[in-house]
Amino acid sequence: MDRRTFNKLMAMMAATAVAGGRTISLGQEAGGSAPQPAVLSPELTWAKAPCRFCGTGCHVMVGVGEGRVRAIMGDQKAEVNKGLLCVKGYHVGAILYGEDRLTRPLLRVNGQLQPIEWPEAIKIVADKIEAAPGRFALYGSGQWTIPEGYIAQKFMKGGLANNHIDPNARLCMASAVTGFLSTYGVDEPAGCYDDLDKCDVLIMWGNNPAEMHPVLFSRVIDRRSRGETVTLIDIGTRRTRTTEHCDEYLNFKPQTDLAIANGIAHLLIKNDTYDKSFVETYCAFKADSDPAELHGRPISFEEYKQFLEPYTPAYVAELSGVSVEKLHLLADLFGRRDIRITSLWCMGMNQHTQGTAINTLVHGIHLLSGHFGRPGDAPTSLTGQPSACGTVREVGTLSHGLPGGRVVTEESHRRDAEALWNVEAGRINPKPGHHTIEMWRRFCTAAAEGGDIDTIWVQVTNPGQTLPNRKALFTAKSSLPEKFLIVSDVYPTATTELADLVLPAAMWVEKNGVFGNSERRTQQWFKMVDPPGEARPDAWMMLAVARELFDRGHPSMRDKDGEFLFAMRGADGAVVPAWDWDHFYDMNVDKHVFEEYRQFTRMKHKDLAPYDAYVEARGLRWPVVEQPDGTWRETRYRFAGFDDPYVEKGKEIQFYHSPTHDGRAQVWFRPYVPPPESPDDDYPFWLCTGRVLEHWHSGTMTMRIPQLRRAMPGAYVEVNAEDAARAGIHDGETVIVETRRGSIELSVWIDGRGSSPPGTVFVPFFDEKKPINDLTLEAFDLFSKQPDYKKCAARIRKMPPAAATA
Amino acid sequence: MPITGLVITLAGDGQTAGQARTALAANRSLVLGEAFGSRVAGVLDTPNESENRRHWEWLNSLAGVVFVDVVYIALDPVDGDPAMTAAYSD
Repeated sequence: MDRRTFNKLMAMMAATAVAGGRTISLGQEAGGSAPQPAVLSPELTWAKAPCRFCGTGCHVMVGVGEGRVRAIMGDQKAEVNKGLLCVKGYHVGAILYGEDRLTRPLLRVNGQLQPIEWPEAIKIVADKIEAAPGRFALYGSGQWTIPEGYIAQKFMKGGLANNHIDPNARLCMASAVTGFLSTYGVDEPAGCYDDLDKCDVLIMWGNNPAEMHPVLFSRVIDRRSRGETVTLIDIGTRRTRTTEHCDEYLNFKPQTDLAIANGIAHLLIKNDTYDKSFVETYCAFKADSDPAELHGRPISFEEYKQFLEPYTPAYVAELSGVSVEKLHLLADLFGRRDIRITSLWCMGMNQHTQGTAINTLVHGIHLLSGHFGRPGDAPTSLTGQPSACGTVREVGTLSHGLPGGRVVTEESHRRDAEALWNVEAGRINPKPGHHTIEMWRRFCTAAAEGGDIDTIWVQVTNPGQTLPNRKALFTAKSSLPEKFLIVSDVYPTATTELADLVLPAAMWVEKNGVFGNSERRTQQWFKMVDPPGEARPDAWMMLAVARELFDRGHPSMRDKDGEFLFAMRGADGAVVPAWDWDHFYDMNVDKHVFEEYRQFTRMKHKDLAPYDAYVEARGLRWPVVEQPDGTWRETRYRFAGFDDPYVEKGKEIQFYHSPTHDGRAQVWFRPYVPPPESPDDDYPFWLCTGRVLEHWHSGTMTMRIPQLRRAMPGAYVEVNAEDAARAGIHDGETVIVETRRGSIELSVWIDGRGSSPPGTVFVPFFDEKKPINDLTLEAFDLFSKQPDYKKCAARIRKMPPAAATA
Repeated sequence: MPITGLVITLAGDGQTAGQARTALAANRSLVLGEAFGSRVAGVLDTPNESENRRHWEWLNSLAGVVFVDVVYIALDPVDGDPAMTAAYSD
């Protein structure tokens, strides 16, 4: 059988299986349980892996032949995607094969990047750390695997006693973290994707899952195609592809989502339709303290009611632009006990200078109305990266975090970590390190002027394109020769353009890995192909640098017995020199690291199963608890007595990490607060930025997939038709988009992929040649330190005549 | 060699769905497989990427087609097709 015929047969088998809700056998399946009978794949070896892109956590089957990824198929055994994939997912194998993969370490010499050997590269990194360990920072990612993030965390906080480690996830979901913590006392959603199969109403708050999480959205649309009734409501500041499928669209003025949430709560109380029993049994009330602190101050229900008093439908309608009727519609839905409501959100609520506030308010509406804890009743945040939950939130790679929900400011948490890492008490620094914005501000400031970060090592992310106010927070490095930037990546990027040392990295199925998706699902995969040239895993790079420091006698990389901090022993008890590339795969480093990390996960009831349990499964949702028969049981609904093993017997709901230590979740009042920058006479438009279906984040992977690149080759500015007509701007015309921080030229797309209301423009951020983050605002949320990419003041100018005709 | 395995979800309305089935069956690049309720399996086989995209857009715009999911893709390039070889810097 030739490859073409084989591929057509495989394609039809996969389609038939998914359409009919069945699974198919792939013949030789690597890394799984018992081998399956060979059916149709004489040439390919198939193995599972989570998709490399967003936080949905779809599983793909990867077909490998002759050392290359040859085919990708949706994994029908995966509960998340049931065999389906989005346009990015089915091209995911191609991310490995862009022509310009980085294959050798490169050092900048006289302005040019020159190839060097790995030993020299490792020595340079160690030199920089040794010269000033406290002025070194590590900037990581929600695309780090869990073992990579854990090694980075231990290297910095347990080794160097340096908390200047922060991930790019600070830019995408830090406000969701502070929202969960201040409401439930513990991070991450209580519900899961099963809620999408059970809800009667799905409300998307500033969320566009049709483009950003298409497989999840398809799951809901599929219910409709089967004749089920599910009402979709889009609350947003611009119409998107999601809106096209919705029954209701509520367009609000940017920032006024706070007022809308308060308006719903106001009506629930005014109409006496809140769930009194739920509130009396399971809720307490909070408001901001002075000075402001994450856990605020307790208030009574009467005070809560008084705070909400001004948020009448008329007042909220005036502020938000949403009609009184639609506000009543939302409140009436939440007031019903006979339906189940799921809320979804992602960047629209998180990238917000009041991100913590709006997160807590949406949780509060669900708690106040009792729409919580039953399948289909859930407030659920989504993540944009494949392991923002697993590596950032669970491993705790934020600048204040420690593994398993611990924080550096708590002495008992530090002692736990020091004991598990076998380092002396007091090793971990109690002061949080610099968060992302502060880290880069200080790196881009001269040492003499307070810039106390000299060296940053960037791994698995592209801050040169994604930081807000990019000129101030990244480009300024070019005029500071004393600053040293190390970048581990797979392709040249906007960040490597300013790098002094570039380290070629292995990616996805070129290494072993573990991710954690948006619904608490931990997912494992094995290496399937070799990385190109001398590209190597980030985990190995960190182990090699740690060992170099150890060999130099640097005390940071020794435990309290004098042993190497990352010593790993094989089955015979002998240390395996995994820091030596020739021996890195002598053992499964991921398994060793994961088993060590697992010990941290019990305190906050985020229990993980042994590594081998994930090898068998298509992910398991924590807490994963061992059963009497030795099997491992996942948890779909946290805090719900019918499913969560940590809820005391006989209780329907128990918030067992309550911030008030009384089993209650917190319903917050937070007022509407104007944004830090609004349109004015000089800059009359709102500028919103975001993603598009075809591209993922800064486009370093998807812009190298020709099919995706051709489908969406460059950034554009989406302009409302009325605004365009008023300004005499035509479709396709190049204009200048400008804010107080910078300007770029962009092609106009009038009412294009989405549709912005009058006075609003939208620009996607995937295009490195059109760096929209030169224009965005770095103002951030007080608690989460997450900046707002969704709203700042901008203007559009026509090109000068000479330039326009050039 | 763009070969993609598809699941095409048709509208609940019998008449519109029937018209869509007829149009799908007439497309010579598309091989239809089994139908399970409103979901139909299919394979799209086109000589190059631009043809693949043209058919994809046609499928998505066809009255009676509610959703098109892709469940399988072969990654091998064909001679002369630049797919899989272009770099962002070109």
